[in-house]
Amino acid sequence: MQPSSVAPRSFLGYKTFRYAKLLGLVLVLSIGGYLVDEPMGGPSGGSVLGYALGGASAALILWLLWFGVRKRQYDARGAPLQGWLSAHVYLGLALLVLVPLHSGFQFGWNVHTLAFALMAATVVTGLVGIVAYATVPTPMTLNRPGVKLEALLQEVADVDFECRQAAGALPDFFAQAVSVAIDETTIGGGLWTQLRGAPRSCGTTRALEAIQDHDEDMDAQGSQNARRLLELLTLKRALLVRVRRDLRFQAFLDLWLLLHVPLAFATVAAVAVHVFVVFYYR
Amino acid sequence: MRVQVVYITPGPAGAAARRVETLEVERLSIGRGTDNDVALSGLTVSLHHAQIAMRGESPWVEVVKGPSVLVSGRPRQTQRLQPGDVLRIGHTDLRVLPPEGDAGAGPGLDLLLEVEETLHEGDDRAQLDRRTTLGIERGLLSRRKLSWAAVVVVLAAFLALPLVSREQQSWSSGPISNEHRFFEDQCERCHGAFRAVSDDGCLDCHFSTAPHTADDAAVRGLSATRCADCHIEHTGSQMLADLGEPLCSGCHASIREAFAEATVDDASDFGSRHPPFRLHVVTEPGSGKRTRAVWTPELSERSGLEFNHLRHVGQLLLKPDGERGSLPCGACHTLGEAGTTMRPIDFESACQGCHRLTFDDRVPDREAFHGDPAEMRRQLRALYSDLVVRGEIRDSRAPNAVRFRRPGAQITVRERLEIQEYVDRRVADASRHLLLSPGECARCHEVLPRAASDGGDGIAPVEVARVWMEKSEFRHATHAPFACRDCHPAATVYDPQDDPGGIPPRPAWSLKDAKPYGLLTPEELASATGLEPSVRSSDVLIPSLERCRSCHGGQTADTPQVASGCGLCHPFHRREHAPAAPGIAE
Repeated sequence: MQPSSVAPRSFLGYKTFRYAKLLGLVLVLSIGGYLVDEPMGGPSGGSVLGYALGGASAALILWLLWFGVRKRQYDARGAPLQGWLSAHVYLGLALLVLVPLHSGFQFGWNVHTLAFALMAATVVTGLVGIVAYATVPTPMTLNRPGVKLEALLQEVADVDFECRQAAGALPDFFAQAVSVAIDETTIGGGLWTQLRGAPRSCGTTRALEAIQDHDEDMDAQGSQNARRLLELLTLKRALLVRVRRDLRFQAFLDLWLLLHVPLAFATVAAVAVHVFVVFYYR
Repeated sequence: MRVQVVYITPGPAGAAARRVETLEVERLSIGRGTDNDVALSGLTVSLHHAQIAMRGESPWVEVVKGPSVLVSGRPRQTQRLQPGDVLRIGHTDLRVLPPEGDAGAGPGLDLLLEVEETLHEGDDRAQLDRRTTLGIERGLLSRRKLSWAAVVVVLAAFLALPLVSREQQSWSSGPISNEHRFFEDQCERCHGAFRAVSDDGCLDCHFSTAPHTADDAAVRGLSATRCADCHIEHTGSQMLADLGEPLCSGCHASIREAFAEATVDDASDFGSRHPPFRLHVVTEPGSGKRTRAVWTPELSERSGLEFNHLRHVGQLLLKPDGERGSLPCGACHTLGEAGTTMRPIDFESACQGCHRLTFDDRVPDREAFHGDPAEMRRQLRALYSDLVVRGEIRDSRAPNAVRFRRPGAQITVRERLEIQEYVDRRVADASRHLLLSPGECARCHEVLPRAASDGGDGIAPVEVARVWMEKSEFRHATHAPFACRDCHPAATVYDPQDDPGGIPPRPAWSLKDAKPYGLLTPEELASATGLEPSVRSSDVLIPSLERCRSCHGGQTADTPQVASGCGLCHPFHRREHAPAAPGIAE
């Protein structure tokens, strides 16, 4: 699902910053042209330069959108996906300058500025994505080095099983606590819960606290089982912290894309309306 | 100890696969580590969890390290195993079977174990999975669904809805100009579907707007120009038209390339590239014709009138009320209602207050008609005839028929001739006095003998230029804060603007012992005041291009100069080419 093998540092500096240099060239040419140009009635999307910048920006938006197709073509020839991503990032940034120049910095409450706003939001979420891929993977790997999330979940389930066993011969109080620890412990959940990294209330924590506070005379075998249960729940709580931290990292890695892609499509729709309107009412 | 272990793993479609291992060991080790004889999965299984060894005839299980094992549901640290027991470690069942029960197990088998991981439905892992929600994309929160929703919302709200409802405010690229606000919501007043805004919509209201030339269609660069090319709408309440220099210099930098018959010179910027002023001066007064002449300090014109600014504004004058005073510019020059040009100066309001046209000491209150000498004489004749008829002539030299005439008495033919002769003489005397005395008409006018329509002496035609620069529009009103002499120094020896407080100053020349300006030669005056007063009406007292440039720079001039685009003086739509307004009364 994620191109998580692509580290930002590597794609940002692809071919010794080839696309960063291209971005610089595009900015110099467009800003220079804008400063030199003196169209009648002041700079606007209707001047020759305005049309040129607008056409280039629209074509660029469609090309940027094509990245969503290209990244799924695992057998594609030509430049590697890393190069595509590098160009996608730098040329996407260029839009933040090209489009205001296209408009002659005329903004208002209309569908034309809506298209720009959606485009800018798309670029910003993309930047958030770069930041996420630069900062999240390292702590994420440290959280579960070489261990798959699936293995952690299996371990939690195993602990649940052990807890049942351990509680089997204990008084009702322990059985109830274990039941809470198992049935009222959820992993993941809604977007907000995942981003928070913990549910509002965790059955395991409550059960652990209840057992720690519990004082009941038992025979040796019972005490041994109770101690064992305490060990297991402590282990489970530690496991849950790691699992939830992992989900939280993953949510950060996924969230920007969940916004980036719909915003990109909304941008295309708004640009289409913008183009329709400016030619409909010339 | 000889052990046979049967691993049962679930195969496809529920069938179980069996794998059999036979071991010869001292004790059978069980744990998570792979060095165990029976390696189990599950992180709750210790690395070396338990071992099974023979104690006498029976196998015993013993926990090595880790939590108790369950033997048939009971936690145990050590326990003798019997066939039928189920040993549970982690989530794996190890079933103890009768050693001889399995065919082909071979002889001497001490223990037969069946090992199977128990991951049945409803077990802890499956339950955990039901309480686990991984990933943030679900329901509407999916990239695909959100994308579709966003596209549909944008297209519906900003394309379909405006098309259907005609509420197209969201399409407007910017606020409409102040003047057009009253039909802001009527897009079709100017726009049509998929075509550029045409001039028709503009001309519906602006029908009287003049073109730039007499025939714009014949001029390259103008023929295909639409109103909307210059008058850019939807940019807020700023001026609709761009009066920028690029608009004009596109053609006027080299005007004959665009229009070979052009009579104007090339210009592209007032500050740096503007031809010298070419004035429309009068050379044949009365003909209505103008001659274009380049401004020079010596430029002169012939108006048919003699006037000396120095005499009027450069000395104290004896006013009709007996006071001595000075004439401000505004005594004769008043601004027209449009605020652009000065009103034409007429004799009656500007001159006659001082220059009275009296002609006969015996009728001292009467003044002659100013204008046509023939009409003047006709009115004089009517005046004297009337005096005779009313018997008011008191003239010792008049014939008796006049002197002793009784009003209403019959007049004989002879008397009539005498009277007529007398009146003619008086008219001729008055006319001669007015036209030929040095201080009367001839003070300003050239008298042409016997040139009038009645055969009498006439006056040379007079024509005063009201506007010297017909191709530009100058507004005196916007320059009102400045003193007249800033631009017209030769015409303003005295200037009321010298003292805005309103108290007439006493100029240096009016002090005791001072020589009035009128007694100074122009050269003496120039050295005393720095002014070069005009003494001839042929002087063209209009400022030069350089004088204008002392305040006005070009389009991009910096402070303190006034940035002056072409349109500041030259309106694009030229009134002289304006179409006749359609009859509104129709």
